Amino acid sequence: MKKLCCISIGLILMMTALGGFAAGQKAAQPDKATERVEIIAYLLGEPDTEFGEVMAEVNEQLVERVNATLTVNTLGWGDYDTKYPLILASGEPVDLIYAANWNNFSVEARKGGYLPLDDLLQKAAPKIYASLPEAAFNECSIDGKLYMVPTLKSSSLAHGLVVRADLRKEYGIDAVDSWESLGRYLEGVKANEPGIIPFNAGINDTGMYASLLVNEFGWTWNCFAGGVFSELQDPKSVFAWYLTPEFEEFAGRSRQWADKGYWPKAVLSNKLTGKDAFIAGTGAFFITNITDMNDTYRQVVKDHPDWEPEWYLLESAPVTELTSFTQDGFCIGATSKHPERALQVLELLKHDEELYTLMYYGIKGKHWDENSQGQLVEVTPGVSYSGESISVWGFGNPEHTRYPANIMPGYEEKVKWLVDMGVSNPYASFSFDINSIQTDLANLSNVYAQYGNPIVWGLVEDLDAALAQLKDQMSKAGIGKVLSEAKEQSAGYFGG
Amino acid sequence: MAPSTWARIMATMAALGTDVANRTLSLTGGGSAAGMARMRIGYGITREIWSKKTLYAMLLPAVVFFLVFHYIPLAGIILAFKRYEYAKGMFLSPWNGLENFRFFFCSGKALRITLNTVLYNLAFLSVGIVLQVSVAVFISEVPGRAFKKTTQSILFLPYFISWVLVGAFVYNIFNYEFGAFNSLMRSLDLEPFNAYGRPEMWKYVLMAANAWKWTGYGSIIYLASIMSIDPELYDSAKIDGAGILQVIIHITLPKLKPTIVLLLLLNLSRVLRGDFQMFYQIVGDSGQLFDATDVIDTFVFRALVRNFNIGMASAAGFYQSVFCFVIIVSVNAVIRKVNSDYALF
Amino acid sequence: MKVSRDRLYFNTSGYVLLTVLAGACLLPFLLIVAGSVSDETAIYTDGYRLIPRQFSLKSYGIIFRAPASILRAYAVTLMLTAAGTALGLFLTAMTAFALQTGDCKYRNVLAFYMYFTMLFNGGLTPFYILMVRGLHLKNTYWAMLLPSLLSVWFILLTRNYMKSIPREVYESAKIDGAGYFAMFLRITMPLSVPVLATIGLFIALGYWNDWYYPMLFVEDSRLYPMQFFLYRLLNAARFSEAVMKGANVATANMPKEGMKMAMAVVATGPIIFLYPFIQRFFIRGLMIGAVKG
Repeated sequence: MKKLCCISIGLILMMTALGGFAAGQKAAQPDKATERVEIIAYLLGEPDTEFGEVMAEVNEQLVERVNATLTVNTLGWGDYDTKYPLILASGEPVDLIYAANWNNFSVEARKGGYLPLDDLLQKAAPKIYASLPEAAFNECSIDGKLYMVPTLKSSSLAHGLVVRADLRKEYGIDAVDSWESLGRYLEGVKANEPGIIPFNAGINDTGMYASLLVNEFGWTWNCFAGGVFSELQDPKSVFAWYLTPEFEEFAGRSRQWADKGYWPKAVLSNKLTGKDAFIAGTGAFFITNITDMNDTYRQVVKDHPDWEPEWYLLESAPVTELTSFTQDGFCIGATSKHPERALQVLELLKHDEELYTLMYYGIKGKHWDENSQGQLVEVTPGVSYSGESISVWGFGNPEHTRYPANIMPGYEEKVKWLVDMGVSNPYASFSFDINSIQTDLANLSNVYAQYGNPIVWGLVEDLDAALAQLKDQMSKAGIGKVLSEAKEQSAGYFGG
Repeated sequence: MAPSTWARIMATMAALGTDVANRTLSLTGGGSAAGMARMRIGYGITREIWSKKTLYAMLLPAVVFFLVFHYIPLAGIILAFKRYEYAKGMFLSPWNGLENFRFFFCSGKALRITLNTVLYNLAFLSVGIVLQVSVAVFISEVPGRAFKKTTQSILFLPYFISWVLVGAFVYNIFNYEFGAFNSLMRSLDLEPFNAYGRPEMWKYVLMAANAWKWTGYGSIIYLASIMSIDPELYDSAKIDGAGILQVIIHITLPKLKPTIVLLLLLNLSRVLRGDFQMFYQIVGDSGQLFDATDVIDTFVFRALVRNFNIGMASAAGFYQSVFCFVIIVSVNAVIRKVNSDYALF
Repeated sequence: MKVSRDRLYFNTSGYVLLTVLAGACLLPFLLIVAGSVSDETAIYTDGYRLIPRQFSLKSYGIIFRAPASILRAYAVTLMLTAAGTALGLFLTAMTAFALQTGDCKYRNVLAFYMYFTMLFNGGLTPFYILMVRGLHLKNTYWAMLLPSLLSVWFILLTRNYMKSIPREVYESAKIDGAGYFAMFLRITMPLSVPVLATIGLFIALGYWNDWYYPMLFVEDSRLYPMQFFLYRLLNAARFSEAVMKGANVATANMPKEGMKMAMAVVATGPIIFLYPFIQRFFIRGLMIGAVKG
């Protein structure tokens, strides 16, 4: 017994010592004339193994330039939705934090999580200030105050159909760019490839699949919440997408396709994605954006160059949506102790070519090198670094963007084409105030998960009954209130 | 009179009851009744603690621990009735009455979800007790040391396997297209079976999964209790010619009763809390199954996943706590009437 | 020795039940091990197999490419488990002893005081604020060690067991002038070895498997315990959910199925190998406890 006590005391002492040591490692470095400052940044994602080295380089430079070090804390994909609000709520010091419209930017801003930048920005980060177009200021402000420093990269939110050209040609289809040709393609796979589920999708493909409908009619969902959409070219139109005749048609087709077995019956419980299945060869179709398509291409071409993955937009889509400025960006935390220095660091990361390249692509000579066309190539196979895994998109800047060598043929052109033909969302600088409809949104969220998703995927026996039930549940959950609130706020924003 | 003697008398008085002490004190000319009562209680408490200071010192770490890590954060319960704003913090944020509870109680699902949660927990509990006690009894009685040790280790393995992996396995077994179960059906020329469209079967899947995960872990507690039963009892039973079943029914099980009751009560304290990971990973987002498999934790998660609202999350937790509190206090009171030794408090 | 008929039935049913259960418990584990040494694509095409179609150590290769961080994570886990178990077990036993002594007048009040915390809970936010801003425990070992130190469940279980120690043993010690702590150390602890072993095991497993407190409070990767690595890996898949919400990027660098399995083996492997050794002590302890009792 005594021995156990001694051992435990010894262990505790050892641990305290180590704990102190670990803490001490992070403690102060010698003071310089202007005080050395530690900027605490929160990014989303999982850092690569090479991340430590890259950060060391970045910090070397930052110390020289602005006498500051950057400490990056990452919020993993499994828990960022828990931790993100916690970190802002707890009042702990946060200097830089990644923010995005899909990550509750306006909600957190209204709760007081971010520092208003109106006075600071021009003084502390003039380059950033100069680089932001008028629209950016509008979009990144909530209730009149500027909160976010957005990415400068505009990209397309268009979701396209990814198919395998080898199979497509086998079935004699010229292009998979309509529902009809898609149907033929999926049928072909179903009939001829026994080991493949045509669209081997999972729950996480639901949004992409639904976005086909959105793209088809030029709708947008980046305006309100609770299943209330609008149209890109007619912002005064405000409606609940589940209640439209277009959705009914979509659901009908889904039902037929589900019966034919184009996707797993248990799609809603499948945690693997259509993309993973496509790359592994157990699926032959999925839906995604152009950036992801490029990544898919690069992975597939390594092992199966004969598959020739292709990306098609639904021809009938009238317009596609461009990302708004609030798609990715950085905010200064309301509790930041060094907001000016944080802004300076941010400015450097965004506009300084060397630091930008380091954060995004890694160390030259170790993680990448240039080929004759200025594209990036791997130096040592297997040793790679990608800032994308930790949401560096927040400092996106097209001026310094570089492309890797083995990108999909025609990728740059396609990206440009999409950006050119895209329209920006008329609701980009509008932020929906949900204070009075929190309860309704919560209930609608459950209704959509329980009754909506199965209809989207056509997994219901009696479609008409299911639709009726969905409508009924939606009105019980308060869709009426959400719609009227949305219409009111929209009228107020666009002027009646 | 020596101070310590006086103190002892006072302590005895306090122990005897208020009236007697009150009269004694008023005889000695004490102050107001209430003031004297307070002082007397305080005096009583201090006396008690001081006279057994080692004992109470031994309790001190736990008292401090629970105070710091559980009671102080308990203040957060007020968030269930507030609309939280970071800038104003927990205490200055505005009150909003029962608004945060509306999403749950006005959803039309409150009763069903509550019922699901309670019934699942009761099912898990009953199956658990039966299996765990059986396993413990068999392991303690069955011959073959190597077999027992190996089995015990193996039964423990599921504890280490996270629900994420289990969910993946379940999908792999039951999915319609290539799942193991349906492949078997097809090879036997039978109709494949769409498990994810049939809500009725999932309660059995969940019960099996829960039993699978916890049987090994839970049986150890019963095993420890069995191992401490006096072997003389068994020997004398053997001499009396009792068969193995009689031994178990008349010796082992009665000796296990306190532990069984304790674990029953402890589990009942969580009767309205579901194991979120288990339900979420196994059922996934198959809406058709929700009516049969949804519990409060999954329901609340889905309601708030896109619009995290601290007040509403707190409200749901508060409801669960109050419900569990009422249940456990009632059950404990009943058990106390039967045999006060078995009660929790 | 003649075995009676009902004893035979009993033994047989025992063997059958235990074997069936053990099989059900072993199978998924074997599938995980098999999956960890399978070629990644094979898992997609063939599902989970007991005997991998294509053998490949690639998943382990990726994990151990940076062995320093894995070893450090192991060290953190080991230290946390050892210190947490020793301290936690001692405090649990001590508290349980005090709560079951007849001499403790307020034992029921205090038991309720502790038990109440099992029922009511202020939620994550105030707890987080307390730990990070009140106690300044962010990024420290203490944040991972302290909150799990005492559990009402274990205290009450231990108390229950200790109640079975006859009062007379204590009486004779009291006459000899032993104080409470001395009685606890010299009488209660040795007689409670079975329950101490059990609770000790549970506490140790709790620390070993914990990823929740590291997830909340630790940002510094040097302090990550083993299970937290695994947790992050298993959940990186939720990146797809983020994309679904609207992140308009490529879902690159997704850990594949094989790697998740390999990670599971790496994280839980050691304790599996350790368990038989602990068990030896465990059973022997149970016997000694029974004899003394």
